[in-house]
Amino acid sequence: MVAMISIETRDFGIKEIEESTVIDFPNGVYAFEDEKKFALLEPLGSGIYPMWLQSLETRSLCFIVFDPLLIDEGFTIALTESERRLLEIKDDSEIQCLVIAKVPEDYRQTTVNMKSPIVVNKTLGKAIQVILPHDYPFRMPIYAREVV
Amino acid sequence: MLVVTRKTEESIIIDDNIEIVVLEVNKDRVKLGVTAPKDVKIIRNELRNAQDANLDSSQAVPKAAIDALLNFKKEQQ
Repeated sequence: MVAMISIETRDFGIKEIEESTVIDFPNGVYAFEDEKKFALLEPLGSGIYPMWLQSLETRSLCFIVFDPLLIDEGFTIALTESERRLLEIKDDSEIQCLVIAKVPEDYRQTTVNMKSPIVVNKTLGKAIQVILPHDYPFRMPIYAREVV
Repeated sequence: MLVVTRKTEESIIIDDNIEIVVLEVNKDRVKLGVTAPKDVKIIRNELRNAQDANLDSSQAVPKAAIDALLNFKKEQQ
């Protein structure tokens, strides 16, 4: 029996989700440290990006997220020992990365934050936001790559 | 910007009560030690950038942009 819960979303009204898909953020995310639970909504279908990372506690708090590997196939992360411990990662295959988008009125000007991705332990449904040591941009255009 | 050259274990003092000492220099990494009163907030610059980026991304997205995002992907498939 799959336990379902109803959540209020910013962009899609009330949604039913499987309780087991709720992701725990023990540290919240930067600037929203008290937000400890999010649901990853897939309005385009299972496994299709962008996805919507909706706070369970605050209806108005929602991030549109992309798979960084679909934006830059060379994207890599480096986690510190304490980040690995916090996420309880046993094997790198458990890791899923999400990058947060800033979507303006003209969606073609959408940028994503490659510097501080959300790293999810898919097995445990636990995630943290990290700041990578890499020289990645906080605001990288994804649709309009040409200089306007 | 004030530019000061310091060697390892040398420091600078800001406003009489904040001391920043160079502990270690290693290729492109510098380890700094900061001594400051408890009410002085010290964060890495990237942390503020990460907070700003999240605050910026948490703004409500215009309906038209959401529809475009949903349809953009459909066009790709």
